[in-house]
Amino acid sequence: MRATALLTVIGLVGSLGLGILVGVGRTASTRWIRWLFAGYVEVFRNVPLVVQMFFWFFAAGLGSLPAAVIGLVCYSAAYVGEVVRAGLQSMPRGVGDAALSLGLSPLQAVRHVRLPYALTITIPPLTNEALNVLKNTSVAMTVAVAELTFRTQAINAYTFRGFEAATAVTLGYLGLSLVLVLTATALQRRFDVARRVG
Amino acid sequence: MILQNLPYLMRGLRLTVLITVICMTASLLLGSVLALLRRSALGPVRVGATLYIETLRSTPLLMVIFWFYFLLPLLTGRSLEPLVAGIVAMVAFQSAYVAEIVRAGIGSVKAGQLEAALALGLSYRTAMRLVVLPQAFRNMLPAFVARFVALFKSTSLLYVIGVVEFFRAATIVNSREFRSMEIFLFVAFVYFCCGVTASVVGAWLERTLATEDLRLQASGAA
Repeated sequence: MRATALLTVIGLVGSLGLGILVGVGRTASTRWIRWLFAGYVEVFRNVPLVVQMFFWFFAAGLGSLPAAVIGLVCYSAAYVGEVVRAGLQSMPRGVGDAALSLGLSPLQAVRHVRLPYALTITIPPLTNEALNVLKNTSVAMTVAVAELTFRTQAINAYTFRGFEAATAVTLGYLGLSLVLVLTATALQRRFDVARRVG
Repeated sequence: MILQNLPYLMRGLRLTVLITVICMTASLLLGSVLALLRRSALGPVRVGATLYIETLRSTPLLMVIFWFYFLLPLLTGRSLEPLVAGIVAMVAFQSAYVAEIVRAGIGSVKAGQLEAALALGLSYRTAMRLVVLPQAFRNMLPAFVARFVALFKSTSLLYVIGVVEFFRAATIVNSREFRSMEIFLFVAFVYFCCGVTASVVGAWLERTLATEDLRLQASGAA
């Protein structure tokens, strides 16, 4: 469970960072940068997470934890990137233009004006992605303990133990999801208040 | 090396596609029923459906698969094919998501449509079937396509309970040949192609249905 929480946190931070890069990249004014990131999104969204993790583990020869983390981050970043892109594109054009005409460089405009806006309005879909990261950590187990699973499944299948373990783990996931949802609701409320006061 | 093992891998891919189609069909049906139950006038039915949907949506698919794999033999009292347990788990899981899509789709049809149909003397059931659901279905299509691709990808998780679908077949070939790079790039490529194809077909379907709608409007039939 601690491993799950740890993996979720690393996965969240990593995929948020990479996802923001992807989202900004997909709205870049240079065409080849846009295409590059669009390609990234399509590739990583259309290949199952297990396959990606196995690729990093077996083909790239990484250890099980790095393989799980890299697989999870690359996969989730494609989804986060799409959310961030939608957020950026939902912003009225004038806001970005105003920032540029005030003398901010394109990068500064993204950092100080467009991203804060996009991230605030995309809190609900980003919460969804966070929940997905949490649930997807379970796939990491297939890399870490792939061997073990295959060996124990036959023994465990017809005993009570397997069933009970599965139930306990499911309850654990439910608990963790609840924590995430509550955090997100609090975040949402805080930013709404901030916007109304500001 | 890939070529030598191609027949074996293709058998796996065929099973993957088969599982995807069976699960999608079943979860469309079960999901629609769940969505209607969630709108039921009876309190307990509504609460039950909501509880089912929310629980399954906040549980990882991998856990649901394990759950059914361990639970079903206990309930039926005899051993079960991993394939059957896997399909049941996938359907149980996916139908919760489908239910939410259907619910949103029904919500997207204006209330006036149902009221008008009821005022014309259609029963609630007929009004739903002939007026609301067809319109809702068109709005749901993009979400269904996304779900279909997600379902296709997630069949790869069935390998944990020993169903020899495409991915499991690939891992078996991998442990025999030790050419991981080629095998997993090939696997990724195949999944990618299938996913993109499904998305393209979905987009085409959306366009076709949308033009039909426009044509009807233009001819004054809508």
